[in-house]
Amino acid sequence: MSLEDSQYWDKVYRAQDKLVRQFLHHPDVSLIDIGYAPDQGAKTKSIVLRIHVRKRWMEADEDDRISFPKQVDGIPVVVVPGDYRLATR
Amino acid sequence: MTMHVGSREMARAQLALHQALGSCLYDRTRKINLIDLAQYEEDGQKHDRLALRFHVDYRIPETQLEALGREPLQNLSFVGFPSMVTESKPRLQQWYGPRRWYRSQGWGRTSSNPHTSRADPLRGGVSVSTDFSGSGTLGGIVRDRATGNEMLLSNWHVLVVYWGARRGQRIRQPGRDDGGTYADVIANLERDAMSADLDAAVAVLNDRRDIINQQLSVGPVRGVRRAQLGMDVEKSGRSSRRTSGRVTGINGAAIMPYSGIERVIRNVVTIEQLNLGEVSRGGDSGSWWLDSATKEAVGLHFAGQNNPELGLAMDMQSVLDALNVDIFM
Repeated sequence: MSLEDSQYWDKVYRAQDKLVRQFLHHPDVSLIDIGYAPDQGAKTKSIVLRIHVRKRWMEADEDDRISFPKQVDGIPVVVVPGDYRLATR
Repeated sequence: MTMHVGSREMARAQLALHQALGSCLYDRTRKINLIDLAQYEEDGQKHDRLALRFHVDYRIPETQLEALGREPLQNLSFVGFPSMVTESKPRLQQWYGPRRWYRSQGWGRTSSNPHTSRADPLRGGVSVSTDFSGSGTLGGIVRDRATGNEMLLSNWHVLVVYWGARRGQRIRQPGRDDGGTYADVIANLERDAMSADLDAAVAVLNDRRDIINQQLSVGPVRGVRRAQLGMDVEKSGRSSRRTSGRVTGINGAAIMPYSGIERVIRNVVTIEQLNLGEVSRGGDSGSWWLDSATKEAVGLHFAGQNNPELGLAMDMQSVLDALNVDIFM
């Protein structure tokens, strides 16, 4: 499957939708998007679904926090830190 | 060497000044700050006669004056007195006192930062706010697809702010905490895109100032396109001014609080820092992210975080379609 393949992207979007429906409204989740696999960037161009989590999730013990799937419909899922604020003064 | 002016001459000059004031001073297209009497000077040579002197923010090109149907000021003559034009912007020099209190009253524009100062003509990257809220950024100028009206595009949380806001709400430039007052109202809220899960809104401009297609410190916007992973982007914002970044996420869905209510924001583009530089800061809300290579708009900035430094924007095409506007070019 190449990045130019529209069928591939349809699959990615559907997988993302599933993840959004299931996790976006969890209080520890701030954003779910599509990106490159971390630490690889443009070299591999390997697409992943990214769940951005708030600081408290990053700091909590593994047993005390929600766990996320490693993949959805074959699309890898990674967790990244993301505690965002609206950018007004 | 002083110039002596007889009383009859002075009386005629006063009459000329009175006529010039009546016909020119309130013509806002000319940007006149002051009209006075001065010794007539032409090609560096002083003459022994009085002339009317027009002090302007900047000289408007003759072609632009022609388009507006205006005669160049230096071609005008009142009661036989010639006219001269000089560029000068005199400003009040009151003492501002404790900075915070005076700013809270809407006084004081001591800043030399063009992003937080009064902008004329209006352009992207400068401070705006409502009458009661903190400042964000005037992202840029757009045109209503239905009416052709020129509008400014920024965030819902910059132009609307509260769920009870009404259409017609006043927008100031600079924003209230940058010294903007009721005299600085430039637009009135028209509509927003929150029902389409986008933190975006537009306000109709009131023609008190000119507008140009320009992002302060960046340049003109050349169109719109979708963000792509790995794309280098840049923006002009009220607080962090000109910053750069790289798109590392697309098609995001975010949850953010808006006046106590959590809302989903869709079509989110994530921008990470380039070379350890700053991406954004509070006050940058409403900035437009542009593709650094083509200067096409790709995103409307609305949120961010430090450590790691990241900015969030909404896909610009989605915002334009939801609001039924196009970029003013």
